[in-house]
Amino acid sequence: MADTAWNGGDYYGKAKPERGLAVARMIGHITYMSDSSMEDKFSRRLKDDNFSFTFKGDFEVEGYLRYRGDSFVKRFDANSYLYITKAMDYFDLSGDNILPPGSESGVRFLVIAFKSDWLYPSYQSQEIVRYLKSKGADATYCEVSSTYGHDAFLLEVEEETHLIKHFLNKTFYGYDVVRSYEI
Amino acid sequence: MRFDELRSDYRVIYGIVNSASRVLDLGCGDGELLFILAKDKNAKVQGVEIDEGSIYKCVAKGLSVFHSDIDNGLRGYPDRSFDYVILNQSLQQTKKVDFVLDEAFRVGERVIVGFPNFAHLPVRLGLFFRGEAPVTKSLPYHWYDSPNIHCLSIKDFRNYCRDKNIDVLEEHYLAGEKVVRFWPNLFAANAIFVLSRNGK
Repeated sequence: MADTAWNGGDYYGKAKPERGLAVARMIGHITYMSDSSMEDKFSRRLKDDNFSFTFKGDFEVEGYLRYRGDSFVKRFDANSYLYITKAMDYFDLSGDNILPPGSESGVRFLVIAFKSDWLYPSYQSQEIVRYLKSKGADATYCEVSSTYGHDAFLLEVEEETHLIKHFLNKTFYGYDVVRSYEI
Repeated sequence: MRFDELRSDYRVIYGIVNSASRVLDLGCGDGELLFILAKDKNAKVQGVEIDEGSIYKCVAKGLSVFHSDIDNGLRGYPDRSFDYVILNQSLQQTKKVDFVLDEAFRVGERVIVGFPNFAHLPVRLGLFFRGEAPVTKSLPYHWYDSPNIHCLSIKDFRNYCRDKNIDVLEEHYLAGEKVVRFWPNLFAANAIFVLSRNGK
């Protein structure tokens, strides 16, 4: 919105607010990674061998974030980004919102968190589960030990598949069809 | 799997728990016990377990489990929401024994505690004759890799229950697969107590 090209949202057919959207995405992208995934991927590595002593991006991480920002504006609309961000701000699972009174019976919940995710930290997921339990709801919680940060939900596919597959099996078929059960 | 192939402490607990009970297993491991209680006894079961790999195995069995340590795992459960709270081989691994038992009695009518007996004869012999921290079947760990924080005997636990006004409803003693009847504090490797605390 600080980008003057945004023009109160009326930029269609004119210059698009590409700089503003790119910066927003660059900031966002940092929150999708973790301390350790940043360190692994970039650390303090330079793009060239020496400091340039100018304000151009010397570090690999700067080039990466700029690339992320620039490529994002080609496939995403700034107003859409604003609306989605706003909708997420308004989204609130706390209190009775997750389980309106009267809806307790028969619903099972599976809550998955990732250890290094500081955008959706695991303690908040645990609060959801504790709230569900306080209402007598059937809830399962697993904290997957991933170092990928928020991006883990796109990367830890095997763990998520296992949890969701078996959770749904039990939900739809009960204990009797747990065929893979071995001791 | 056949019933008599099941671990002996699981068979004892299986015998204790009534059909269709609400059961919470603290430190439920791979969920073996909860699974047969749910399947055979139609119990409404939930587990708390710290090990991630065990959580996956529990979910594969269709169990509802909470990935957490026991010291923090009970916050949120309503009062008296379970008929039995099981602490099998896990109480001696918790940091705050008093707190965990208080919480167990808050959420459950009865608490089943199973623990390895540190006064078991082979343990005493190892310590006395070899002068070494004992490594036995029921205490398979070395001093440096043991998850057991607290070392207690059957007598210790009885004294503890007396001091804390906890009623002991049943006591079961095991040495491997066998049931022990005489001098359990000497001959039993494992003990399973059924407790209640209605006087609080």
